[in-house]
Amino acid sequence: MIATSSSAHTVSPEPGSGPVAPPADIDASCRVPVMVLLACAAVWLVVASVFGLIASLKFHAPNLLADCPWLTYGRVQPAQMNALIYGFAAQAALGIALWMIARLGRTLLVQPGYIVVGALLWNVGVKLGVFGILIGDTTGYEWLEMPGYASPILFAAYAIIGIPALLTFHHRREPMLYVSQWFLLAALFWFPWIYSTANLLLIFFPVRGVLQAVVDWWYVNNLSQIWLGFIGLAAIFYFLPKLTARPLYSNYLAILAFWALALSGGWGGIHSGAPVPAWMPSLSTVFTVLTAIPLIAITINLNRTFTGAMAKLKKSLPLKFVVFGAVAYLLAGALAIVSAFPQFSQITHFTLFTPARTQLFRRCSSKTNGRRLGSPALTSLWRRLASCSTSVHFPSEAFCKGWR
Amino acid sequence: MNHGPLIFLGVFFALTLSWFGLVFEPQLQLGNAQPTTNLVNAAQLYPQMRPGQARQGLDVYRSLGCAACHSQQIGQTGRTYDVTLTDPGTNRAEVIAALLKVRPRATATEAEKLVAGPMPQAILKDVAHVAATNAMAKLEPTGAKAEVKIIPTGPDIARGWGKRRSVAEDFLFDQPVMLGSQRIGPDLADVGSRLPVANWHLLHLYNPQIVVSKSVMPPYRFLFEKRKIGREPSPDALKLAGNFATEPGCEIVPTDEARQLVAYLLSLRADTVIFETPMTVATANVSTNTPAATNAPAAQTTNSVVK
Ligand code: HEC
Repeated sequence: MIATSSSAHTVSPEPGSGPVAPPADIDASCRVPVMVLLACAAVWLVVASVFGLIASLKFHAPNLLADCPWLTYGRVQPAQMNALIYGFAAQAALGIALWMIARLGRTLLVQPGYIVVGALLWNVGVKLGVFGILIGDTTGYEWLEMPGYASPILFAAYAIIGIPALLTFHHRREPMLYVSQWFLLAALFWFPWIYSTANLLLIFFPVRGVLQAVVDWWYVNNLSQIWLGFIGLAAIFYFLPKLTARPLYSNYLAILAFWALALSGGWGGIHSGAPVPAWMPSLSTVFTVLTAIPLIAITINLNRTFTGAMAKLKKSLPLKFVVFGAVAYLLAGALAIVSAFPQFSQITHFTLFTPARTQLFRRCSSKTNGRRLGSPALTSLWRRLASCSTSVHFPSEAFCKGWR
Repeated sequence: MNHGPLIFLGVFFALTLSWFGLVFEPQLQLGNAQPTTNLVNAAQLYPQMRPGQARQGLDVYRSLGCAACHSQQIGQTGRTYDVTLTDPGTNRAEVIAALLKVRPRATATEAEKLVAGPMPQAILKDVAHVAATNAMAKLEPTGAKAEVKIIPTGPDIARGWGKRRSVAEDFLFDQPVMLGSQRIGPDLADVGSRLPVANWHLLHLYNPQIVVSKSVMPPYRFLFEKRKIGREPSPDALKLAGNFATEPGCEIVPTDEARQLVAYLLSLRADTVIFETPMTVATANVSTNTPAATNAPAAQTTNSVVK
């Protein structure tokens, strides 16, 4: 089925020429790769939750599993984060991104076979990386703990998935671009850039001293704000109008938000008081505060689009997820702005507030995914998975740690 | 409308901007940083490379993920200043007049006592920079000698986690630099001067509850070796008593890794005075664990002159 859909696909050189593909065919071309990505994401979510649970329990019983170096807190915790980010969030985001690119371009997914290979390779990379963390080969950089023998695999796997995604975009039959496509296209480019920069400058040709921390903060902020955030926003802008059957309130506002976020979103993450020259945290704070502009634009836009659809919200579970995702996103963004102010972050910084906030971001990008994949089984799997992510993971992590 | 290339260019531009700002530019500024002699009290260079064992210990610290619970960055929110009279000089009357201006609340008899008392005498405590500068400006023309002490302040410093804030220099030779983002446990940037005893750390790593009864820090027993006591007990064996004692006939000996880790912990100190973080420490007592070190009247180094 992979083979048929890719060979049956006639490639048109210019976007816009040729007949648009019917939605059913598009879904058929996406089904296998997207299913693989989402199913693997689901497994990783469970794995991450198990790690998270072990880590949380250790706060109550420090002696639990303490004689096994593999499962010491300092290894389980990063293993959990990496399973969650690269295993779950990244794969879920990629899966939904591929499908949206095909649907919005009204064209079949290009080379689904390669994407499946890429997805499997990605999973090999994540497994190796998490294994590396557990045996103590962690790099020591937050969110980049995977050792140097795993990250190139992830990079290659991303390329194998990303190139067909770009080709799908290029061969789209619908010349008009919707704002979700802007976000998706940006996200597709953003990841290889930040991931390669961070890996090269931290693991392969490490920079000196605190520069390492600066690069790491830059990476973490870009990954959560821009990469996961953009895919999440693409999904919100796609599903909200669709599920409420109302047009997007303003395309102009959405594009304004896009550029404003692209310009200001990549600068955050350096907290005031960090042991670096003072201009860096200042710059970071200024740009984080500037993200208020896109955030307000998005809020207005989504709110106006949504008004009057309250009745639908009660009936439609997918819509509930999308709205939850949107609210989580906006809340996370608002909290990021508030914590950019030193007065506030002095209190919350170094506490579990910060990871809780990033969780919100991730939640938004994951929550909004996985609808209408032409497969009821998948959708229900997704729902279970999404609810499991809040019910198991969030309390276990935020609350258990919070007690201390 | 085909915005594809436009989006690509725009995104490229946006990314490049933040890349230049937060990756490239910092690299230009700090990438070639060298140890400096920006120290007041010594001709020595700072920072120094960690000694070999401590360098290996950094890898143990990284590998075990201690940074998941410990930060290594002391924050500082400000400074306060103390002014101390060290020598009243010969012109007592003018000194007293100046003192009364500096401390309007004080009575003439109090000022006289101050000047007559054994030196040094505290004149102002915990004041702002301006007040300290003013006081110096008033006292100097009288021929009296006074000193200004600079004291970093902030919640981290109040908790006793360090004497001054962490600065970029402190981490110049570390690889990786693990500043940490969580404080499940205390900050460790200055732990080597706070807890300078290797044995304490060994016991603490073996089982934190030996030394901190309700600690939630995980024990690292796997960094220790349990073995039968040979002809004589090993001098390195941990001294465990009561509930924590092992079976009779056995002893607990730290492995190389444990020793390296402790060497690393002891090498973690943020107490060198550099220009970026002015503070006053008593030279005689630098690097000791006494909290009173900064108040000691001994010779002092201050790395910035209050003008
Ligand atoms: C689960 C979180 C956690 C991990 C992981 C952890 N610690 Fe701790 N650590 C704590 C807590 C909580 C305390 C405070 C209670 C105590 O002193 O035991 C602490 C205290 C300390 C102290 C004493 C600091 C002081 O000022 O009293 C040192 C030194 C220390 N830890 C070193 C380490 C090292 C080295 C590692 C890695 C091998 C490590 N910790 C891993 C939680 C942790």
